[in-house]
Amino acid sequence: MLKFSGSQEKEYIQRIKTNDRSVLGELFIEYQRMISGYILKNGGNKNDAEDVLQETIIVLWQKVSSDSLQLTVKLGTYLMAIAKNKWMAELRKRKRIVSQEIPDHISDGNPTSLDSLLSQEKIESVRQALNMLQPICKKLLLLYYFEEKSMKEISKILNLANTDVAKSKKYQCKKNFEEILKEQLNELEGDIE
Amino acid sequence: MTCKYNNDTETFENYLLDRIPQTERTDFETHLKTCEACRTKLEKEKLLLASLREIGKREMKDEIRRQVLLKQSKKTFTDWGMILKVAAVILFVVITPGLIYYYQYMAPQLAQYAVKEKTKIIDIDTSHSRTRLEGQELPERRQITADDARVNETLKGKVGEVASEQIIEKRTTPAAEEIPVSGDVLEGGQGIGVDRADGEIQKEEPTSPRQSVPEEMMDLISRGKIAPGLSQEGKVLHYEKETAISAASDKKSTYYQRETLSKLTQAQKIWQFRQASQNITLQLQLSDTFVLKDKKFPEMTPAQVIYQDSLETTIEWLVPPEIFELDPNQVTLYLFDSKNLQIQLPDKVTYHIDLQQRIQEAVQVRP
Repeated sequence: MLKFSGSQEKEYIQRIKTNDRSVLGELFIEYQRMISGYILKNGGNKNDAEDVLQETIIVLWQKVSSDSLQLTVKLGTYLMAIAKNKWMAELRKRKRIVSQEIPDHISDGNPTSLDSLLSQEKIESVRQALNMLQPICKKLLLLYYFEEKSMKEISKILNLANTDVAKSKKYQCKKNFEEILKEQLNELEGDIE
Repeated sequence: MTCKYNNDTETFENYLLDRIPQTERTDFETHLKTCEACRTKLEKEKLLLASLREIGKREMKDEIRRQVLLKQSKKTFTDWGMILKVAAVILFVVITPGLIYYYQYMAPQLAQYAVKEKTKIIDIDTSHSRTRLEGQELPERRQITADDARVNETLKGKVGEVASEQIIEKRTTPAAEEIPVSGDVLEGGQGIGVDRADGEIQKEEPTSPRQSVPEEMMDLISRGKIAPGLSQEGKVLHYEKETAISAASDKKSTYYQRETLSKLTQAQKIWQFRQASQNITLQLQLSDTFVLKDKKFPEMTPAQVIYQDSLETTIEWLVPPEIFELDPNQVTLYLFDSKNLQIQLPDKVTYHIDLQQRIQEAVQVRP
């Protein structure tokens, strides 16, 4: 389980657990200098530093949300480790893209990896389909697939009666989402099939 | 052969989200190697989930950016607040000693050259407001005659004896059958009570108490030599008191208010004004000496500087009833060179007082 020495760090983690999203900006400001310094010293620019820090915070959010974080070091050390990995992956990706033709989507070889490089058009199409759903459906799908929250937490956040209701709702929402996607985004459908 | 994962979308999701136990994972991966349909379905789920995660990520990035911008703008605002605070402290440290120096050393010198500075009324204290009967005309000023002097001598010392214990009647609503009362009673013992007689004997039918007034006294009253309410023997006062009692008995007492004579003798009104750091107090003394013709104010009236220093000036000013009854909010004071005071009354009537002279006259000047 989590073992942080600083009370401020414990507070950050606790706030993520309670889905307090205002902690995102605070984390960014708190660790901006440290992580930006690293990125800028290692071939990145200000935008790269900002992007890496954002993604680092997102990883922390996902890990804490899914309760899969076991840490015995300081939060700053953990975030720096994530940022380093992210920046290295980014540099590798850039190197690969420079040397190869840009494919429609790129997989890192891991069959379960979801960090595929999707085309802007496809992402935009999915975004449009997602926005056509009921707000609660969009929120539920993002909570489950992106933030990796458990059904118990989702039912709590969305004020659903229980886990079973949340599961049923999720199934219904995903089905609707796929239908909209099939109907309106033939391009994506074609790619998928 | 039927695929056991055909309708099991949850297994595909859990596999991609790394939410299935290792044994189950191994079984699923073994199956994938032999099932084309499941591999296709897995790829489809993978792209769908990847898209959702990418959108989620972008939205969260936007949210972080918004929060950071908001916090930074607040931080910038706070910095400005700090800068303003520091600037205020510096200004206070620099300006305050300057202001103190200015008011202590420079202002008195500059005041000599100051031109026409308007004053403000700060307080008004009226110890007594003089009353007059409605529709009552001010009599013309008379020269004191030998008869007057004789009556004054007679009255001298007598009025003071009776003043504190007498009660006079003041009518708020004129009643035709009552004798009007002047109210112009000067301080007892001074013997000037005959200078003005407001009231004339009205044409009402005399009542029985009135008939007790000596004829010679009635004659003096009718000629304006003495004011009703003042007499050598005090009979007139008794007469009026009796009239009131009589009227009360006739259920007409609602027309009367009672005031003690000693109150009326303190006919003084105080106007206080403030100009910059100086307070100017005008103690108005009611004077019957000045009689207005056609509402024209006298050219000059007595004024006396009672007290004066750099902060306070108190002037006693003998004024006609018209000034005495003015609303001080209609009065404006102008102080010239800390030595000359001008008092502007309504209708541009302006009096000038030389503050350098202790005993002076307020002279009417053109504004």
